[in-house]
Amino acid sequence: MSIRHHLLTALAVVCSATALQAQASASIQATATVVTPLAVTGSAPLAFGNVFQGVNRVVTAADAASGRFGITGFGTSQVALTFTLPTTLASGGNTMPINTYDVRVNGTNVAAGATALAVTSGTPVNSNLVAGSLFVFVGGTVVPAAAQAAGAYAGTIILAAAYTGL
Amino acid sequence: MHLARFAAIAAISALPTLVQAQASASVQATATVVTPLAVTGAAPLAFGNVFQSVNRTVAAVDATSGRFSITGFGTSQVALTFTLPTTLASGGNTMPIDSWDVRSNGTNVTAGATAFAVVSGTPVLRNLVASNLFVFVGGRVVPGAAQAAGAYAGSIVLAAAYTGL
Repeated sequence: MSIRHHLLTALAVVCSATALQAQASASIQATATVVTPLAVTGSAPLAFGNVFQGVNRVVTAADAASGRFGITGFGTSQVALTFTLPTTLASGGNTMPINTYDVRVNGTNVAAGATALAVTSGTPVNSNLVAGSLFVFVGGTVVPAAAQAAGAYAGTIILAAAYTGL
Repeated sequence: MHLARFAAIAAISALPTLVQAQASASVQATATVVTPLAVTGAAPLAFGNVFQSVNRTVAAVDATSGRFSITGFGTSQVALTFTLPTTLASGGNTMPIDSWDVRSNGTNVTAGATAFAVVSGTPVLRNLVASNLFVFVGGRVVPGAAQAAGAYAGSIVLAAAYTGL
C-alpha cells in the first residue's frame, strides 16, 4: 500500500512535469500589402470632326483630337488593358464604319513619344504603369460611304484595366 | 524506537537458521528528462505587394516563406499543431489566406524539405533530425476585386510537444 502510494505520487509528478516542459510554441506573422487600386478615367473623346461622303478620315493617336484615357495605380505594375472597340458609329438608324485603331501609351500625358500598342477588341494586352500612371491615346479611321447620311455619329470605346500581379 | 528495532534485527540475524531466509536487494529507478522543446519563429510569411483580384502564392521553398525552428532531443517525435489564420487584417478590412504549403527539414534549407499536410488545430507528427527541425510555411492570399489598399497581417502559431516516441 505504501509502495503503491509512492508510485502514484511519482507518476503524478512526472505527468505534471511533462505538461509543463514538453510543450513549446512560437508565432510568426503573415503579411501582405494591398496596393493602390486601379482607376481608369476617360478624359477626351476621339473626335473625327466633320467628315465627307466617300472620304476616309484618319485621326492618329498623336493628334490633338485623339481619344484619351488616364490610368492610375501602383508604381510600375503591369496592367492588362482590354479595349472594347466599336466597328461602327451610329446616328439614329444610320451607321458608319470605324476601323484601323491607332492606340499608344505613355507614362506622361503627352502623345509625343507614346508607344504604339497593337490592340484587338476584347483581347487583353499588357502594359506597365510608369510612376503610378499610364496615359492612353486612341486614334482611328472612319469610312463614310458615298451615300453616307448626314448627321452626328457616335460610338463608345471602353477601356478596362486590371492588375496582372506583375 | 529506531535503536530498539535495530537491536532486534541484530539479535535475530545472530541466529544462523534465519540468516538465509532474509534477503534483499535494491534497484534504482532512473529517468533522464531530455532537453525541453523550444520553438522559435524566425521569419514572417511575407507576400509583399499584392493586387486586387490577383491571387498571390508564396511557396514554402520561396525566400519569403515563413520560418520556424524547433530544437529538442535527438530524433524524438514531436506533435506539431499549427494555428493558421483564415484571413489577414488591415484595420477593419480582411483578406482571405488559404492553400497552405508547409514543409520541414532537418537543416535550415528549403531544398529537399518534405511537404506535409497541415490542418489548423490538428496535430501532425514529425521527427527531429539531430535535435533540430526547421519548418517552412507558404500560402496564398486572395485579394478581392475591391480589396482595400493597406498593410495586412495575421498570426501563424506553431506549438510543438513531445509524443514520447
